[in-house]
Amino acid sequence: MSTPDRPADRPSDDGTPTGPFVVLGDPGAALCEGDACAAPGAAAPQEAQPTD
Amino acid sequence: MPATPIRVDVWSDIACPFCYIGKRNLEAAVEVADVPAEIVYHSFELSPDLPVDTTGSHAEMLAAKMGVDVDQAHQMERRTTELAARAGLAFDYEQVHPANTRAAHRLLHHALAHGHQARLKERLLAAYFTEGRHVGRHDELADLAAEVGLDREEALGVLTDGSFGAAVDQDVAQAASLGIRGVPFFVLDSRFAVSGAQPVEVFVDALRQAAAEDAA
Repeated sequence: MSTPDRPADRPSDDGTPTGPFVVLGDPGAALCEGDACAAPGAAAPQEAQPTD
Repeated sequence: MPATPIRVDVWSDIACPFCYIGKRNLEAAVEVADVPAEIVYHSFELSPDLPVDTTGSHAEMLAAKMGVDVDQAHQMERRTTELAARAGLAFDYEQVHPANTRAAHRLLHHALAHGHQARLKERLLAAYFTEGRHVGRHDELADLAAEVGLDREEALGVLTDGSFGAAVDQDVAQAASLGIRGVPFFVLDSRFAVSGAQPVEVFVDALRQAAAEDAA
């Protein structure tokens, strides 16, 4: 995600933000993505093994 | 302290452990920073294709998703449970019922319209992660809605007739347009974004920066 150095655009009419944003914090923090969740230090998925 | 609360828009799901942990960290930060906040939750469906009723344990489903064996999935659950405990949450993965969360998201929009969204969001997360409640079935969701002060029959009607489906879709589409690929995702005062279950101090910093910009 980009980290623009200027203030974001104003929000939409209903108050919901439209971006862009100044992103704060370490992007490697605990997150759920694509129906799976990952945390720093968690067990990593195994590599797929050849089937032959 | 700003005269008006800092608005915090949060994209998150129910079946998302880090959404619950991040929520707790944000709430702790609001106390520490002493900055009033108005928190609005937006829908994000991590598993939109999951059926309402599923078979198998959470660990079995996690193992299948992540390509690991069940023992490794239990290890991942324990790691997340430890992180949750640090935030004061008592996860019980042995009791968790994986379920489609779209109906729960529709109900959260109904709750927002009635001023009960924050309470329902907390109730749904606790029900899923700590109490083994089923957050996909309409009857169970209506019970949970009633527990936070919503009219049970009205909530059941919303769940049955498909209301707020467009609102859920709009939230999901907006998340995509903003480039949000993972949750939780927090936007403070439409200016600052925090991605993931960041530590309390990151949220404190974000709240104070947003408050300072408002005061400028």
